[in-house]
Amino acid sequence: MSAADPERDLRGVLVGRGHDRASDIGLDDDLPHGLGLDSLASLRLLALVEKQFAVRFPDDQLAHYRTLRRIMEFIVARREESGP
Amino acid sequence: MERGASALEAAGASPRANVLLVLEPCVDWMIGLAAILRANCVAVPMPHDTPPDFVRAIAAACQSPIVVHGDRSAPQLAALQGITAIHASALRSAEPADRPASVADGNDVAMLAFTSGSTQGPRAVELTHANLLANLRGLLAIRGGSPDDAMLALLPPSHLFALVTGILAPLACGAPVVFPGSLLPNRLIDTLRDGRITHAIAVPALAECLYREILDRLIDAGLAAESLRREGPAEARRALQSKSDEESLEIRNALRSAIGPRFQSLIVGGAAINPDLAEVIASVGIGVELGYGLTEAGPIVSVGRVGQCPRRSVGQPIPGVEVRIDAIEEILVRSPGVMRSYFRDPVGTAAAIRDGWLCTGDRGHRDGNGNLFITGRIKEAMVLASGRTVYPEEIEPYYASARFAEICVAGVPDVEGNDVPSLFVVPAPSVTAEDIAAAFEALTRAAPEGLRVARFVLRAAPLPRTGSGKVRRKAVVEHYVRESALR
Repeated sequence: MSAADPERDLRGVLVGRGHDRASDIGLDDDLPHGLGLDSLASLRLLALVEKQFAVRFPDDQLAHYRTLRRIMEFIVARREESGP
Repeated sequence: MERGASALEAAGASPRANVLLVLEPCVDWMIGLAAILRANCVAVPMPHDTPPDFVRAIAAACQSPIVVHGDRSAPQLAALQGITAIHASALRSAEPADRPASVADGNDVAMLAFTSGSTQGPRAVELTHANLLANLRGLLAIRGGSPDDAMLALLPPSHLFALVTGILAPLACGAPVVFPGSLLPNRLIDTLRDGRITHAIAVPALAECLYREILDRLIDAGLAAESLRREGPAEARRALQSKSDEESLEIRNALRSAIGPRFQSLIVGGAAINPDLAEVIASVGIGVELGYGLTEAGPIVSVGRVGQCPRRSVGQPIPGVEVRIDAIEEILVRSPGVMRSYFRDPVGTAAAIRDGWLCTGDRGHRDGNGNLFITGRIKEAMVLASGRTVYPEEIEPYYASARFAEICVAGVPDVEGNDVPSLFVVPAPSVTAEDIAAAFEALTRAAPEGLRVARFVLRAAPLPRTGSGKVRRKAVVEHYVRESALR
């Protein structure tokens, strides 16, 4: 992920996997609802983010990561923790 | 177990009292169950995320003031008045009693299994120790395991199928049971390999989730076409069949490096699986076990293995279980695993068990070799692809609107034969389709998760009713299916 535009990277990954509406969904919109995902499809989406951005969401807080902003902030925070 | 039993006694649980078990799947879940049964109490298992008002309603319905809970279910239960909550970890640390606890015999009730999480007349199945043991023995007679096996329990044990197949069966064989930290498919695949797992139990939707994760990896490795991401399992199965021997071997090797060499079987239950999905998984060398059952039957009725039983069949009855098809094609079951009764519901029990045969409410037939096929439902309860059972009466109260003259909820079968809860609406006079759609959207958002309807169907004609005014939901669905087929 480029440090310059994490939002574009995240949207790009989702659109690349067929979530077409990820290109214009609001940062704080509910992703599963906006993309029409059931609970297992939502887990697949988080799995995709984990693989693409080499992060690991905390097991007991998966339900927290339901918006682009929260996912993006998590990725950026992990990146800052692990240094440049 | 002795420690847990004595902790329960200290908390006021007398023999044959009902004790709620509301915690996330983990080792403590099993310790809780063992302690409850050892104290000769009755376990009432519920999902750890059951809303507090449901827990309260169930606790009241079964006069159970004691709840065994875990970390995740603690916050929601703390607020409940008049309930003694025991953290499962306390069951491990109590001093064992010096006298033997009351000991259950086979005819004592071991479990009250609620078949729905409704506050409106929750219905529970009473299963005795003998019921559960009979079902377990029947299963193990044809699907025995060994201490070298390892089971990944992907379903909550509050679901009876998950408990018997995913936990009790491996433990009876001396095999370890592994509980996943989360259901993220990428991590589950890693757990299969790193946990040296041999068997996993899943509902069809989760099986598909795992299949998609593996397919993604094959595509990323250049071993499968990118286009398959958007296709169903039927396409993937055709694509696999067209591969050369060398390519097929490469795919199997990639698969094995992902899931490990030991993984043998995926056990799919709770709902019907798409046969193409079952076959594509089986075609890469993973055994797929499927079957049929219901809580009232204790729960397993039949078991089959993809490739060994006909397509769309749910296999053959397990030892000890007799299956008969009656004149209206209803599947009847007789076995020592069949429930003793519904909890405090003699009328419901008499309707469900006639002359010793359990009326399943499912419609089906058997072929000349005894293979069982499910073809539809006679009962109004809906069995979802997720494995959950929901009754129309649970959902209908959430869909009251002045814009609707009449409504009913009924299950429309999908291609696999699972029910899709659908709202049938007769609009109030001069209300437009747009207004109906807007009301439907708003009500769906407001309804509790799990009690939402996926879609609505407009109906011009009044709903058909019985002489006593009850909506004939099956007739509504039949009419809709017939009309849809004509379009």
